[in-house]
Amino acid sequence: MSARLLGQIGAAATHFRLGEVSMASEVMISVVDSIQEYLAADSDEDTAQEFMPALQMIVAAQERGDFLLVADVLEYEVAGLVRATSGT
Amino acid sequence: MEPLEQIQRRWPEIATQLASARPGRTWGLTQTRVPTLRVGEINITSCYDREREAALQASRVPEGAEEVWVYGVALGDIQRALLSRPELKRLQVVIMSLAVVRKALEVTAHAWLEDPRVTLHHGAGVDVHEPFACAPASVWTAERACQSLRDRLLTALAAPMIEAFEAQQAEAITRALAMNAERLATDSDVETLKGRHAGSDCYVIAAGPTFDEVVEWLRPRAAEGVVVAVNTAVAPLLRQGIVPNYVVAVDPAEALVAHFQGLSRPGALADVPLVYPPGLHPRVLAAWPGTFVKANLAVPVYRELCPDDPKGVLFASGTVTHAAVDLGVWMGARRVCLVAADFCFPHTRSHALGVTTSTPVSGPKIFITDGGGRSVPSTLNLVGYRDELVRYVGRTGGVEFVRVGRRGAAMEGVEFVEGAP
Repeated sequence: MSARLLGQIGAAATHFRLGEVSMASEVMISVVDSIQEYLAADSDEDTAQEFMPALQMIVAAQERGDFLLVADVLEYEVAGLVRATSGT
Repeated sequence: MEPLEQIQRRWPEIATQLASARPGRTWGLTQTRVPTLRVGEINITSCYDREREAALQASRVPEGAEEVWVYGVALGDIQRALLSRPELKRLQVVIMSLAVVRKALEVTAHAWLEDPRVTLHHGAGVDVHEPFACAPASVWTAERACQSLRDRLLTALAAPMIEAFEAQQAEAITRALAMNAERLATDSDVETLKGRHAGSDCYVIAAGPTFDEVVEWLRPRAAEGVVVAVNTAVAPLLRQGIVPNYVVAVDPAEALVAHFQGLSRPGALADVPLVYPPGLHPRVLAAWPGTFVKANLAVPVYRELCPDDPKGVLFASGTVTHAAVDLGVWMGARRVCLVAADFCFPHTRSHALGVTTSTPVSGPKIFITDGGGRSVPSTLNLVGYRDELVRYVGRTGGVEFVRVGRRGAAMEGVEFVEGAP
């Protein structure tokens, strides 16, 4: 599951950095679904808490059109958390 | 040499423009791992790894390219990445906002300006040239004079998605054509409506968010003129007691059926023709309580699948509003008045209140100016439809085009009706 999520995160961030916002937004729908699935599968409640600040940052950045920050938080924060919590 | 001195030496006209640029937004450097310029509320580059980001953005340009366009100056990272290619002979760098560039020149060194392969341009009047790379945040923060270039760039960047969507639509249309065959053999052709309302005042009603502001203005006029409504406007019109003379629907999506369900007075539409293309979804046709007129559309998929029948061809380039406007012209209107054809989200809603698909606006937006010069959110699609309509108006002689709904997107060549909202 984490490999698929990391792949989706990479794809979304790449689309944002290339200015392909509509494609990035499509991929983001899958990213959000996969993160929810990933957190639901983790029995440790602290994991969800760890993800929360980064996810809130993404929502706020997306809302104001700060898409390169969305890409940064996805690639450098969320992906890092996925690797740390999945042991990949 | 300082960047501004370098520009003064090589491109004095641009230096003059830069000197008079007025920064209208807030600025600053981010306090992040890698500082970047923050313009208003958005970062102009990555604040984690600018070099890696620039390498990705430059990778859009095939290896071996000798002349490359870069849209947006940002902090010069893409320029540096591309100039490191020995085969590159010319790098055309386009400024999307003079004010943003002025700040960018202040916060970091720009050695790329010294490279003899570089030419610097201001984006007003520049076209999209391939191959190109772009600094997306510089494109999103384009100044007003460069917004047309911004929209063309964003369209070029969205091309793969648009193509995939069109392929999907072609499949839906092919399926619908087979299912609608019987009806198509007997329904009358829009050809029969040619010149039907010669010299009339035609009101084309879309269901943009300004609908609620203009409906009182419309009410007495609708009774005098010819009212052509797009499918989304049927429910709000009926609720206001206004019965359209014609309704137009073009999108092959089954979801359109929602616009004809639960209407407040469906009986009032018994004699109202729905003007539709052969690929309209059969369930949408089944839900229409009135009569039917088939029409061809001037789009590749219909030219290929049914070039001769229907005979009458309406203009459509992405939105039903185009076909509704062209129907008014087709029927001989002297004056076509666009009502609530907003092409933007003035009240952060997608449609007029009460439209089934009306939702609060979320997701990616671009900002354009409305009829009163105010900044208003929109989407790339809507801006593209607006621009297509402006081009249509420009090439259609003998008809006066006007509009109401001043919170709608600015449209060149279409004046607002004096005294109207």
